[in-house]
Amino acid sequence: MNGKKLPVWFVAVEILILFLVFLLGNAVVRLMKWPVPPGLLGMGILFILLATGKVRVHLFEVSSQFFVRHIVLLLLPAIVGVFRFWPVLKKEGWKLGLILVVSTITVLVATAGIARMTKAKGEEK
Amino acid sequence: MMVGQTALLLVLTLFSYWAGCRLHRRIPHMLMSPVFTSTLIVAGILWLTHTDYQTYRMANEPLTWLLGPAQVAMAVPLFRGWNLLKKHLSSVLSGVCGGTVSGMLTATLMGKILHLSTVTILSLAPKSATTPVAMLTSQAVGGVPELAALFAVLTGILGVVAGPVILRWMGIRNILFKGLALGTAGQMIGAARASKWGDAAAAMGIVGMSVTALLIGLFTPLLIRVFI
Repeated sequence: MNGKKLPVWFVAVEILILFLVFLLGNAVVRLMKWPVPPGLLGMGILFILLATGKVRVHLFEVSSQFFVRHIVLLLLPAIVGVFRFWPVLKKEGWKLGLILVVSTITVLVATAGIARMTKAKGEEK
Repeated sequence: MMVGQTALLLVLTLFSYWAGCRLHRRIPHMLMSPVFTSTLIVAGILWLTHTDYQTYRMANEPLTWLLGPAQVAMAVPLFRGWNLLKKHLSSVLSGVCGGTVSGMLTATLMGKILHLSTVTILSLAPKSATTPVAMLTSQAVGGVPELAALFAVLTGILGVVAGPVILRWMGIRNILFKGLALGTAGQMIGAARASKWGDAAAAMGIVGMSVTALLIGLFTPLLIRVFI
């Protein structure tokens, strides 16, 4: 358990645990009727487990990298569905494009600009 | 027969993704990303074989289930970037909040001005969240998850294309802020690009991405109530 390398099949266990945490988040959201996406609550739960040292980050090494790297695979079935909205995209494509460009640039400028403005004096680098 | 078809449709996704990745390795261009190529391969084969989208979607349900654990797994990079986040807490939080809120406001207001349908606006609003969050959030407020996924992915790509240029133009030299801006604007795709500036920038990108996802999940319902 303490070795650097975990066996390959352990990824399945990692994903199973992540799934259980997700289900827990889901159950809490349903029960408490909180307006939070269940996955984010699950992320919060796992974060607390990691931060309090209940779970070691090492255990989720492989699966978290897998998900970051291959998220597109999981999204593919949904993205393919975009072709059902072809008429909308064809008709309003330029408007959507304009909005995406303007709004993404706004996010970039606002985030970096505000972060720089509010940088505490003591902070360096 | 049904079972065979279901399995085949699932394999189709896996195969197309694999082919898309190989293609991207050969031609490393933004437009050759599996987001586009694999999607086209799947759509093309569905069209050629006259397969209904609903049938395809049902067969690929197992992949969709994995989106939940994928979101939970973001706690790992967030945990890694935690110390950096704590050190720059005030500037990071105000930057991400300001960026995310102004992005949602511009998208919603421009959508209204350009007379887009409410459903389209609701699919646009959460676009700077990571794709799974954007999809689930948009669905929760009455948007179309497929459109939300498309907008989120396009936003990520735009963020990566425009980000470095805009940040240079603004004269931002601090790589932490550069990473933060890319992660906030371009989520997972942006955070991956930020890793070219080093681990610290990548960690900030991941922090930007996670905080954005959280903010969007929390505030989209509120925004919708005010503007729609």
